[in-house]
Amino acid sequence: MIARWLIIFLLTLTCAFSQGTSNPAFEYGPRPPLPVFDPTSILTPDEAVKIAQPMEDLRRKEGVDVFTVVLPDLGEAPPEHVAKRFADAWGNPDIHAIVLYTPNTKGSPWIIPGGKVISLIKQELIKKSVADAQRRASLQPTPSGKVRAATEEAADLLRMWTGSAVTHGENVRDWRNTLLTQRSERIQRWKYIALAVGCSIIPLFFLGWKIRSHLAGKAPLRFPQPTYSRRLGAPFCGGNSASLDLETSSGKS
Amino acid sequence: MTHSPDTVRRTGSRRTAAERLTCPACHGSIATGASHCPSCRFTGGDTMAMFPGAPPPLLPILDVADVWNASDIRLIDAARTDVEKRFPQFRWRFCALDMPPGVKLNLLGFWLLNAAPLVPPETEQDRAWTVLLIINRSNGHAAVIPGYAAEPWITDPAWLDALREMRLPWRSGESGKAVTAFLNASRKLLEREWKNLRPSSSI
Repeated sequence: MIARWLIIFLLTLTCAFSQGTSNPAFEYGPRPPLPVFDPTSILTPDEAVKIAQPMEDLRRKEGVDVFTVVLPDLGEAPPEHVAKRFADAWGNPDIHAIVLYTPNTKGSPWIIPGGKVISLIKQELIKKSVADAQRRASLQPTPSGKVRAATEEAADLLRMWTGSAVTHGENVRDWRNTLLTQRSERIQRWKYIALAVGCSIIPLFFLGWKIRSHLAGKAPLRFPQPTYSRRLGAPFCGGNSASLDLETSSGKS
Repeated sequence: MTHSPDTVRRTGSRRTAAERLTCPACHGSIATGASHCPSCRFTGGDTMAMFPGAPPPLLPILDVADVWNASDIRLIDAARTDVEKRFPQFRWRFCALDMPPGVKLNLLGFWLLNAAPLVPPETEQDRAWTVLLIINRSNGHAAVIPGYAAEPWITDPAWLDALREMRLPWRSGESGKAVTAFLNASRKLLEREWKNLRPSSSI
């Protein structure tokens, strides 16, 4: 009895272990040859090809991977979660965007970008760009129009962001060059200031010298006390004088 | 009285700018300490007869002839204060009056400077350092009469140069500016004279 229970326990444990460690296949199988997945044929085959072919060409030429998933509904699952599953299974790990569409659902089609390159872009910029693109796509009257517009918007965004990421290094270099230029300009400006200060020191010295002279010109000066004798019996002055006719040019002393 | 050495100078020999001492009456030469002029027998006491009556107090500005208005007086006072700050020993007095023809202005000044009562806080020493500028408005004559202590430093011809500075403003009717021109010229003369003195460490 005990042996039988032990065998059952071991089998259960083995099953559980094998369940947890295995990498189960994606429920929708391998990636389709064209980047549109529409299992319930919400789009006509012609519409699907018209949307998928340009995206496939783009992926081959530029490595920009936009994959469109059209499902009848998502149930309770958030669009980001569903898109992530498709992206993990079929998307380019460097850069991709999943365009997810469910008919008659508010907010659809969704554009969910991902990949290593996307992580280099500012999240605020991504959110705003994606929101704008989704809004423009949702304005299309037909489902296929919405999907096509969304895929084109997604492709444009990826191309733009790829360019941004590629040029990020260049931007850093430009920024560094700008800093160096600004530093150089600052040094130049300081040189001019130093020169101006240097030049102004000379007139300042001159001004200081003038002020000193001016102040020196105000210091009281005293003559030595002369010894004198009274003349003509006069107590304070002896009669020396100078006189002049102010009206004419004659004068005498 | 003590003064800082850099503002007081003394010559090695006594300065004799007024070496040629003259009689105010006849302008003949007289000797130092002479009691009367050897040429005309003039003495200081003679002026008491020439100008009878009590002399007025020798105010800084004595404008009997009403030559200067309030603005002129302010101008003169400012210039006088300025020169007195630079040369504190010197006292400056300005007198304008109308005198009849024949009155010798230098004799009148001589009399005023000697006979005018000392008004406290003026001392005898102050009076000896006084320079009197007297103007007769009637004939446009002006005379400078320095006291005993003031006369060695500026010669009579130099005083005459200072008087000449008055001419232009006086003729323009700017009697106040005429006096300030005289004061400015006098200040320059004193500056020059002070610089010419040899420095001395003792007073």
